[in-house]
Amino acid sequence: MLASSLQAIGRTAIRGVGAVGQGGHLAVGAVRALRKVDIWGPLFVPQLAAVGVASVPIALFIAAFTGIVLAIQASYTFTGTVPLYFVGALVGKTIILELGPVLTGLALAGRVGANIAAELGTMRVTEQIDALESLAYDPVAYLVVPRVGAGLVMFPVVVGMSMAVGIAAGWITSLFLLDLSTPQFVRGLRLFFEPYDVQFALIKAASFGITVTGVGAFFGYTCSGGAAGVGRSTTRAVVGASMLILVLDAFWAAALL
Amino acid sequence: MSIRLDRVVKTFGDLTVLDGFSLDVAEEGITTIIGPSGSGKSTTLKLVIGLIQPDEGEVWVDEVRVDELEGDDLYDLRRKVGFVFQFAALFDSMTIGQNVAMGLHRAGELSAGEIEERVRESLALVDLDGVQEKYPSELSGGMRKRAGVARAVALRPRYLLYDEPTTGLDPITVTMIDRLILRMRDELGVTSLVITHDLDSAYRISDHLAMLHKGRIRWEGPPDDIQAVDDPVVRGFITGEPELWEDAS
Ligand SMILES: Nc1ncnc2c1ncn2[C@@H]1O[C@H](COP(=O)(O)OP(=O)(O)OP(=O)(O)O)[C@@H](O)[C@H]1O
Ligand SMILES: [Mg+2]
Repeated sequence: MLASSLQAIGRTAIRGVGAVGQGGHLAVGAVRALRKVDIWGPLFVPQLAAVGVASVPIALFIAAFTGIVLAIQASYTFTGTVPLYFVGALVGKTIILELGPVLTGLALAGRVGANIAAELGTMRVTEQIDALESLAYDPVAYLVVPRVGAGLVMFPVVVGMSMAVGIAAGWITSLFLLDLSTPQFVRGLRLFFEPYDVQFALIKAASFGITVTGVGAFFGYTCSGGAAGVGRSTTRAVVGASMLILVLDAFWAAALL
Repeated sequence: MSIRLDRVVKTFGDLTVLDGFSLDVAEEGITTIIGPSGSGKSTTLKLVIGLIQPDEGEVWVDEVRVDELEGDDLYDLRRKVGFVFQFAALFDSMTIGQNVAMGLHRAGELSAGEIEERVRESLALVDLDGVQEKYPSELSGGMRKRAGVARAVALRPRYLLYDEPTTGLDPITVTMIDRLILRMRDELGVTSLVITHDLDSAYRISDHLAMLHKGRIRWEGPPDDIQAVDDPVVRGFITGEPELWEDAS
């Protein structure tokens, strides 16, 4: 019993170390492939659309409802003790510092990370990646670089839009559901506002973009074992990317705030 | 020169697939490998273009040792070698025309117009005119297979590796693919390494025939000689007699 669970832990650990090694290998390959602009260049813009533009609806949907809920909960919490215009401060601060980047990141781990893992995983198990190699394409330059590059560029854009929409939703909620005027909400919003917060959020978003696309690409690229293998890779990509996002979130908070 | 594998050992985990495998592929000829399912035929072809690395032994293409190549040198080598995958391995997000053009774009030697012309020509060779705009999922298995052949020959490579190019095709198409393989040799001087389960086809096209068994070449020679071989393993295989085969192996 104990021996077998120790064995299981050992196997998982070995697999984990192996994955880190493979991941490092892929990362080095991706950096090397950066100079093959002729391969990844033409694919970059389509990936900007696939990774970024297509993610906007879900991201904004989440942001809008987060803004609404934050405003209502803030007013509920503050009733009688704190001036109500603090609603603006709480909505602005939480959305910019935390919820905008993290909720968007988690949602896109599901949307973008899973998509990349499934697509590349299918290409791996049907030998399409081998076929790329046989036609003298570096598959890392062709498949991984444009996706991770698009994540790096587009996550900050999408998160920026999410933050704007989230705050706007909080403001509209304050106007119509809470007894708050626009000047009051804006007063609260500006109370603790630091331009640096936005910079901080966008740096986080960029790191989440690399993480989500990179983890998805990794599990897809190293996929094996047919349809079941593709399913496994997709799940691992979503779980792995979500966990890394939360770890990175804590890291940035400790490092930059 | 040409393709040469020398005492290659290849294992996957606990499974030893190739175990001291040596083969010389004659220049401008057609060498065919036959052998039972799972004996390592596809593995052999993948070793030749460095898709996988051997555990031991040497793999040569021309003056280059493939198993020691890395990075861009490997991609340069692959420009000389066309590969027909066993299950076609077409890019399913692209049309058939785009599939066939992929290698040509990469090689960068032809203009857009010439590429278009070459794509049409290559598809005509495998009797697939008019499917350029279709996606792989819209084709039958046999058509996909032929499109895979077209993609490999489009590059006019010096070497062509065919992994079961005729398996699952109707007799007419089989003959057509056989003729295509012969034509590549006769008109373009291509050196071919073919894997097949179709013994009739193997006898028809091969200049040199080799049988893979238990990780190494059990017998090799001109195709006409194989009928006279006494080795029960070879006899059992080519006559398709499980009893003879099992006793011997
Ligand atoms: N990437 C891999 N990982 C693990 N095992 C593998 C891998 N590739 C091949 N094998 C195993 O190696 C053996 C030989 O495989 P290979 O595909 O070369 O056989 P084959 O001779 O082409 O068979 P077939 O005629 O059925 O195509 C098989 O047992 C297969 O399961
Ligand atoms: Mg095979």
